[in-house]
Amino acid sequence: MSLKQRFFLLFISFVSFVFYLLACNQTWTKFFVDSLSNPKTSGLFCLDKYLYGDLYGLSYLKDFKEWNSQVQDTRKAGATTRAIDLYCIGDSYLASELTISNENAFLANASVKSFSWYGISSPKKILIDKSKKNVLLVECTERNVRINFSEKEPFIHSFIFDSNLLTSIPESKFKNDFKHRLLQTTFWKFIPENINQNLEMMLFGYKFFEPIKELKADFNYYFFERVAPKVSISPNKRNIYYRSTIDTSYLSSSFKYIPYEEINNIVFKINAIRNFYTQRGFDDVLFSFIPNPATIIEAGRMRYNNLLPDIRDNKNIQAGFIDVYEIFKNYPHPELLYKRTDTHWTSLGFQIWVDKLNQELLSF
Amino acid sequence: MLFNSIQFLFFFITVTALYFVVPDKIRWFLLLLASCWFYMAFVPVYILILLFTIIVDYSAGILIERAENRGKKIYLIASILANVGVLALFKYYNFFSSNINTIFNFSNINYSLPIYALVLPIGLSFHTFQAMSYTIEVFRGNQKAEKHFGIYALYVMYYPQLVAGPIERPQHILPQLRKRYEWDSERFKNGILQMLWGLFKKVVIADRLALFVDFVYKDPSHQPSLNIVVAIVFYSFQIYCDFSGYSSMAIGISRIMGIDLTENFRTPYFSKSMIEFWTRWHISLSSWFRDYLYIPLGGNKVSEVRLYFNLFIVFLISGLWHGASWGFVIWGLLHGILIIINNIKRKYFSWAIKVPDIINILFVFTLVSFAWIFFRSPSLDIAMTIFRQIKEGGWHLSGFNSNEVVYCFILIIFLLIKEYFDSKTVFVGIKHFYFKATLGAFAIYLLGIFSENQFIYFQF
Repeated sequence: MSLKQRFFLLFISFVSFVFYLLACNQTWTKFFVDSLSNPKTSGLFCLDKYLYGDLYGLSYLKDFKEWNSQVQDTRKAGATTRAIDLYCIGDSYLASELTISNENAFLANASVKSFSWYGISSPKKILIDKSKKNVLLVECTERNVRINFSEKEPFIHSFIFDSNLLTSIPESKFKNDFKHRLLQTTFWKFIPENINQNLEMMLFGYKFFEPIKELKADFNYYFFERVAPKVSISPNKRNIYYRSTIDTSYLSSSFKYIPYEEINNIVFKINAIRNFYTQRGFDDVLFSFIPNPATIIEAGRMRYNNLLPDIRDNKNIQAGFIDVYEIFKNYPHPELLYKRTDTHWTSLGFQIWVDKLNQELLSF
Repeated sequence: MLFNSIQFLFFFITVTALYFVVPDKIRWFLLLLASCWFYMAFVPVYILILLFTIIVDYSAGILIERAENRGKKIYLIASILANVGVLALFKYYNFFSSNINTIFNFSNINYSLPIYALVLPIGLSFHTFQAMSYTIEVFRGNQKAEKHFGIYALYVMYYPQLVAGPIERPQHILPQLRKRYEWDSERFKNGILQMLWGLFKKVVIADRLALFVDFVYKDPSHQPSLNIVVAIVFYSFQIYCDFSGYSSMAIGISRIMGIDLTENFRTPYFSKSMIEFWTRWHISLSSWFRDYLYIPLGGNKVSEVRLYFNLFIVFLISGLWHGASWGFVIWGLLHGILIIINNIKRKYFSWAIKVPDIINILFVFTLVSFAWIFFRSPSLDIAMTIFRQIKEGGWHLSGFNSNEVVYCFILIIFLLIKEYFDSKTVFVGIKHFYFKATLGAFAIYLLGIFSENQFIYFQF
């Protein structure tokens, strides 16, 4: 083999290894992908996974391909701004970079002084000013309620809010977590579980490959009525959902039976979280569980498990709720509340929720 | 990591490209490192078990070669006990304990053996048998003990065949691990096409058939008879494509690197008798049992009754090798009985009217397919339900898209035609490589099911 051939193979090996390493770490993968793509353009290397909605990104069905715009709160600012600092431990429904395009309007209509959002699965230490009125909002989508508030201590407890991060906040909790994670990784899981998804995103997650991905999806859908495992199509073929919110073999299904003991456990956890954070500087803790699109739009398909009303109406509940279930359920055209090709709400659904938040904050 | 994953693609490219860059003398080290990485991608800590058996067998090989008669036997027995002990602990302990506990319960004995939550190390049955093959061949004087620890470790851990075979013999593999090999573009093309064909069999055929089979086996009591029969046929091809697909990939990967692995399948569903079936299906395992169990038991150089007893034992153990459950045991016993009947027919009924080959082929396929029911069923109850539903269900297809069922049959026919012509064709070189490779890759992407389905034989 010539020297030139050896160098070529060495180069191939190096590039392949670099891709492999990048895919082992979520942050590195994101850095690589962000470097190449720009969601605001329609370039060839633009990431297509969320351009047309996360459900399109899971299925690549042409019938469910609509431009995914951020929600907007376009109403005029409210008359008064309450001196409330609103902190949110939540998911993508309220994440500004993913969802809300006009944060100032949201702040104004929510009538709060400031709004800070933290991902529910990324515990952090956060500085708060205890001389101000601080309200914590714990938000998650309905499909994650039974998972996030399950038997084991929910990781929501892992957030640390303190007015002085330089004081002796026990670091051991984070250190032990690191040591525990290291041991787990070394002995039980060497390579991250999502390495294949990361590699797929780095290699094939671009608009460039859209036609071939759509061809595959359409072939399976039109010939065999088969869609990607993570999605489910409604019987009238007009809507698409996360399969886990429809299929009753999943805990997160809107139609999976819930025993009453589990509702009591969830309420117990909610109250414990409320007490935990009110003892640590918050004036109050509110909860908001956003209904699954399937709960609202496919209400007649199967028997709803009544998760949200049962929690809200439980006699032991102590926390306040930003509850939009009844309003969404009774809305004349419920399909307008959620995006057709994405699991998140539309601007209309979001605005209804903000109005409800405002009503609840009036009591402060 | 699975062969049908993107992760493996990058692993393969990295390792294979580096293989041709590094000097010959350290290629074994690169492959050993890669094999360790490959194995640890499943459960890292289990490499310690592999290391234990490697040390035991490496040492045993050297000691057997140096020792005199009685000593040789002692070291061989110690090596076999160590290997079988590890296999017994991780694979069979819970099975035997739970059955003994059932007997205790039934007899009102107030004691139960503990059951442990042990995860089966991947490929345990395969590399254990390959390791035992080494010490036995050294004992028999057919193989010199390998003095180089790294080369021996690579013999056991060589990643393309580490987790699902083919089970190799030391005489075949050890010399190849030392051989100096230069880049050969014909071998490269051949290897790539072999890999693509293996991947096609797995993700396009096996995983597509699995959708129907899993649907039927999930709740067989509500399935019509036609669904059951179609699922039985589909499973025969699913397991064939799954396993032979893996073997094809392993052979293709090795071929690129200049290493030839044993062919593990030879169109088994064209067999005209059960005896022939076992010379074509999982060849490396059946030859292992022939050489290390059947022949030491006396083979066919014993009385007729003893011959049948030997066959019975071999297939009972073969069933158990596949898994620790009564389903696998019954599957093995069924094959044993069918082989015995075949032997009786050959001996006493050779005068019977010869039937056309196609009838024999269909007959053998039917027998094998019915035996697969026990192999596939997660419990004996499910297996019995399957048999009952063949008789009691209705003769219509339901719950599954009929286009997809037709498509599955088309895939099966394509497979049979291709394999038939491949078996009749003499290899004369690769033509139109780039066209075939591109078409193959495109077909795999377009038609394949990519839901990270593990290969069936990985669980053994």
